[in-house]
Amino acid sequence: MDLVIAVGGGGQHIALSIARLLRIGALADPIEAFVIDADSDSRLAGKLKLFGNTVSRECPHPLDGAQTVVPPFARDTMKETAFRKIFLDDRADPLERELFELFYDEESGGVENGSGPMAGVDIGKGMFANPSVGSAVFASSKGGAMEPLFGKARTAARIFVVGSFLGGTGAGIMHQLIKLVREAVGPAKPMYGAFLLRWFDLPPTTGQTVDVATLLASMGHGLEYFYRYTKALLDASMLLGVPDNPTQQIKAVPAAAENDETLSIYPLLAASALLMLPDKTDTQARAMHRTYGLSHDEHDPLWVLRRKWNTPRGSKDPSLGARLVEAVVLQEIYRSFREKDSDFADFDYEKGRATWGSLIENVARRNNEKPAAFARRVLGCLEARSAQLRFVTWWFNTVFGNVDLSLFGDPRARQLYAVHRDRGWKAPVAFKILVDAFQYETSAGAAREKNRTPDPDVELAEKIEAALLAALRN
Amino acid sequence: MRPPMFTQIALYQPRNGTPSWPGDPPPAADDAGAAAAPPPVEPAQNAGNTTVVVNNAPAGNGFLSQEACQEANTNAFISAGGYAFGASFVGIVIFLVMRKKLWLSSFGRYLTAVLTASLVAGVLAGWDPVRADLLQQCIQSSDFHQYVFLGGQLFARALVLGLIPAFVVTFLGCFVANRT
Repeated sequence: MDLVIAVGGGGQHIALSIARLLRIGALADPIEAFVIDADSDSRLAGKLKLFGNTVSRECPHPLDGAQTVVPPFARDTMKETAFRKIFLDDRADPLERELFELFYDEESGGVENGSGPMAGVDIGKGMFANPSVGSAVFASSKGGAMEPLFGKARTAARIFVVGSFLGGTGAGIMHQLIKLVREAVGPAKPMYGAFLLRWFDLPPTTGQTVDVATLLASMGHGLEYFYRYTKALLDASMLLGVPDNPTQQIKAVPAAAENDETLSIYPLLAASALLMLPDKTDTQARAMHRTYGLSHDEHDPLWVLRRKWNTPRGSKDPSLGARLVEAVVLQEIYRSFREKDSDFADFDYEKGRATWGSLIENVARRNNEKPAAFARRVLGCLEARSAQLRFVTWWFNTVFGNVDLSLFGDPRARQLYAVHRDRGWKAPVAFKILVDAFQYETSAGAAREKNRTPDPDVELAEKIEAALLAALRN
Repeated sequence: MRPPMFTQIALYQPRNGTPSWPGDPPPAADDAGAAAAPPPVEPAQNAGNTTVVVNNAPAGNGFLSQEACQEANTNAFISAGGYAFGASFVGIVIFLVMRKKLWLSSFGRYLTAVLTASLVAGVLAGWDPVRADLLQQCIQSSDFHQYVFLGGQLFARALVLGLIPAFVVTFLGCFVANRT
């Protein structure tokens, strides 16, 4: 299993991209995430933990471990989350106060008895682009809070550290974290990093403590430290940021309001490091660490979709576009099942009883349930899976626009995508491929390995989706 | 006195305006029940016999028999069965096409197929486009319509011989077809 350590807001954006790619099969399981951020209650954290409110019993999170956001300090045992009061309690002597105020300005460290912005950073709500705050907090409690991470890191096959050098959490703790992890796992463990430089712009109305200059200053310091110390701890790394004179697709986007997800291509590009960096690493010459970037082809805005990603079994098209085509077609199929829910549940479609009907009846009997009721629960699971796919394709549509993907995908997926694109989709098409997919029922789905035992209806829904994908790919 | 036997006549079905027997002159409307003809006999008195001449039959159809009407009735059963099965076949085909296209709900498909088949079979059984003249004469005969199943009740005949069998057969056929 690969371990992705996502640090701060940038790390959560990349983790969301990884989860999306896993959901559509553009990245291969098993990948586990360990997400570190001070504010585990932000909208972004909520979106990652619940994968856009699509995680349920019927459909688990595509990225194991992303349901939990761990603060970089022992938040549960802390009496106080105001940065100033962590270091300066009532018993602090004047020298301590003097030293504290020497290192931290009013915006990050606050002032004595200050309130509002003058109280300094409340680390319970994030580091607010103050790397000095993040690194101090992390250094003060690195033992307890990060202990579970080191255990996971030791058992992981490969480790990827992702985040940004812009904010407070990522820029503040990234370097120390990589050093600690490397110490914990030893020099032989493959360890990679994917880091975002400037990739968004702050709106002018954002509070006084953070502006673009602050972000760029953090980035500069982070880069300098990275090249001096951190880079050598990694086998390979990738740095991504907005170039000079960017085209529309790769320019910095305004940061989302209220710490929500910022929709940009950059987290997706950073996620591609999971495939690219191990391929480019010479395991025989680890000392020859390389840092990579990506160049954007302005004449081909869809180049990311054409790139080779994970190649699922049976597919002859390894592009990201092919996986998106499958996701779109699957949504159409599930929508048809809902539209004809009684036919799905009662197997009243051509060859329905001889194929999935008999299988579902057998499973339902084993669970002492009526087949129709059980089939309806399976349909509920498929709808939950469709909601996840919608969450994925919605994001891609926002980033790339409503592009025509007709040239992507294996022949059958491509043909069905064309039907969808021409608005000619009808329910029988979905049931026809469902019946065709039954031939892959025994072989499909065996490739995925999960550390859980799903309920029978959930398992059957996963099996149906795997068989449908196999039918689309063959 | 025992009425004379006209067994040959029972084998033929006289047509309007044609002689009952090749050598006979065509029967005229005004000499029905003429002296040559035997006196009318009530069917009840004719128990065990097979042929009677009825004087209240339509002109030119004056020669009916119990056996002929029973045979016509049997033939009518066969044709009604054909109508029912034909209509059921149509109904099942409609059901299968609707299922392939996933038109309506499952209940709607059953209802459409069964209603179509039942109505077609009912109309055909009531109308009976290939009905033999002899059967018509038997039905219209006050003496022999009892040998024709529900001879005098058109709607009941359509219901029992067409609609109900087609309903049952179509429903079962659709049910079996839906299991495939």
